[in-house]
Amino acid sequence: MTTIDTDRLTQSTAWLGIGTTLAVAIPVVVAQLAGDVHELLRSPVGWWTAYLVFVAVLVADVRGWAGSQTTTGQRIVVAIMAVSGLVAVAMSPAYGFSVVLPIVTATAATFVIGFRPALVLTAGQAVLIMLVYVAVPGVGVGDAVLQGVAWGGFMGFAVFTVEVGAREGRAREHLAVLNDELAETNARLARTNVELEEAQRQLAVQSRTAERLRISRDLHDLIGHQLTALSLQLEAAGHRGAGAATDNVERSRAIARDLLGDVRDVVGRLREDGAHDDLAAALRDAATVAGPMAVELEVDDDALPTDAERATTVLRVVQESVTNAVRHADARNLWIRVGEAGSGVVVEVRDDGRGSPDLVPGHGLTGMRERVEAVGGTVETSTSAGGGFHLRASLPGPARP
Amino acid sequence: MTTDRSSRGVVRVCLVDDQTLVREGIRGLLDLADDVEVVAEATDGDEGLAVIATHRPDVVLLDLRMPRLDGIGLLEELAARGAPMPAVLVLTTFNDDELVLRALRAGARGYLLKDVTLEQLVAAIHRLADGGTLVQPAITAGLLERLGSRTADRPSLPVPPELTPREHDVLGLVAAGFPNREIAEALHLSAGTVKNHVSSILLKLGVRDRTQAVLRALELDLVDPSG
Repeated sequence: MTTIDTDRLTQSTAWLGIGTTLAVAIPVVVAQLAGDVHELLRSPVGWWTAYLVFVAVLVADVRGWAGSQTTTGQRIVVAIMAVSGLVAVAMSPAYGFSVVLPIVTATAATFVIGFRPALVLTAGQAVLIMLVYVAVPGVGVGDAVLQGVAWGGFMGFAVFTVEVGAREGRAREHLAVLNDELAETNARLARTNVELEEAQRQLAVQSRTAERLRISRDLHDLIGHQLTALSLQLEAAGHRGAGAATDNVERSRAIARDLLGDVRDVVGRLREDGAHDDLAAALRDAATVAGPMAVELEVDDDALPTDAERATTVLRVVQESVTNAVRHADARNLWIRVGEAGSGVVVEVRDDGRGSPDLVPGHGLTGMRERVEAVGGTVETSTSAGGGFHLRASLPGPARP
Repeated sequence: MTTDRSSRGVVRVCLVDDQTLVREGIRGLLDLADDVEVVAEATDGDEGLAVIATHRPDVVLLDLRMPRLDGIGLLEELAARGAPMPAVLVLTTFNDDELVLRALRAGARGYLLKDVTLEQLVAAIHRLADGGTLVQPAITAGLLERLGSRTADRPSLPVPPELTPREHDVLGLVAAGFPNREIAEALHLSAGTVKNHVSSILLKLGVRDRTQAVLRALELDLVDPSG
């Protein structure tokens, strides 16, 4: 935005230079029409030639003022302007407005070849103007020096003014670039933050699941086998006949069986119902995203798998989809549906993000596909530039080996 | 002392379980039965295959969760060898529905929880030794239900096979676990006729043994689980 303004100002300055230069010719034309041009110009042909060369070069290079690179062509343009401008001054020492041409040259030079070279050029022009006046009969050296210093000062003023404006423009441009970078860093930070929260939540869900399975395995391995053995020993003892203790043995046997039944129930719940309840909660967790994206989750509870393997797979698909949308899609909305499909379950995900004409699957999508295929399912995706992203993961019914 | 079957000889049993305490418990229990003899023990599937090959038991009591080769692996290996399959009774600590179903599909003839009573265990061993099965229709139907397997959408058999009324009767008794000899007595048929009916049922259901026939029949609602 700032860049465009600076460019526009520069162009305006260039056209102003052209206008001023053209104005210089008006008194000359009037004098020509009046027939007394020789009072202004030492050689009308020489003056007009130099003047027209100056104007032609100036107009031809008007676009060059805004360029940031100094090319050899531009240096030549400035040189031609300087020479033709000074020739015009030399051809008309009695016509003070001719000095406007070196002033325009100094201004153009600041834009085109830079501040320091323009200052050097200006000094050179001032000296040459002084010499032109020295050569004029009837003008004293003191007056000539005064002319050189006055016009040199005027040209220097133009050069400095242009440079101050240019520096301000450059500073604004730099600021704008810094601002853009800051905004991008902010956006990246926000995305990272969302991902971090997402990762934390996944970790929490995973460690809950892992803990539950660990307890279930411990109950199974440590307590289950011992209780089974105890129960079998008591069964044998009961059959061997333990005399007065028979009653106690039989009651002990009943207690052992009840205990084992309880452990079985707990293990079963930890493995199945737990997984089911947790899945619904875990899906809701996964769909809760900080940041600007709205997630709409629709879950058909009857469709949720009860076995750990498929439940985990469904959860992974949803988690991965949310992460992908946050990370890559730039989406405002994400729709997720977990529903029944025949005896299986289907996860459908859609976003209104920027999509991509040629999707390159990353680790997330590849890993998701592998997981789904491991339980006999399929993943289909479709996307187009600006058309969002659509994913459909279908899992078959429970395993039937 | 616990059964009246001793007249038909001693049933030779192999015990395959990685838990020493459990093996001791079951052996201790079976020591009380005159007509069952534990001829060998093994602690995993590989050892199990070896002792089965050496001792040729009538019945194998098989744990499913074992290190190295597990129970399912042992069943699959037995089937792959093509040798006559011993009757395998799966013993589980927990209701490992999916594992049990896989074991039945892999050729096991029945399953029991490990904390059985002596009577249940001995009766089961004899039933299997006689050629029967122990699939417990009521429990198995629930198991198929929970695993979502008992639905009409099995693509392999879109139309339930046409069984004759007689075959239906025989199938019902097969599902209840009875061996051919007892089915013959119950239906007043000759053992040969029952055998023919069973062969025809296996063919129509597209399965290779009685256990599979029971599973398929339960899936297709051809038998009443509660009966």
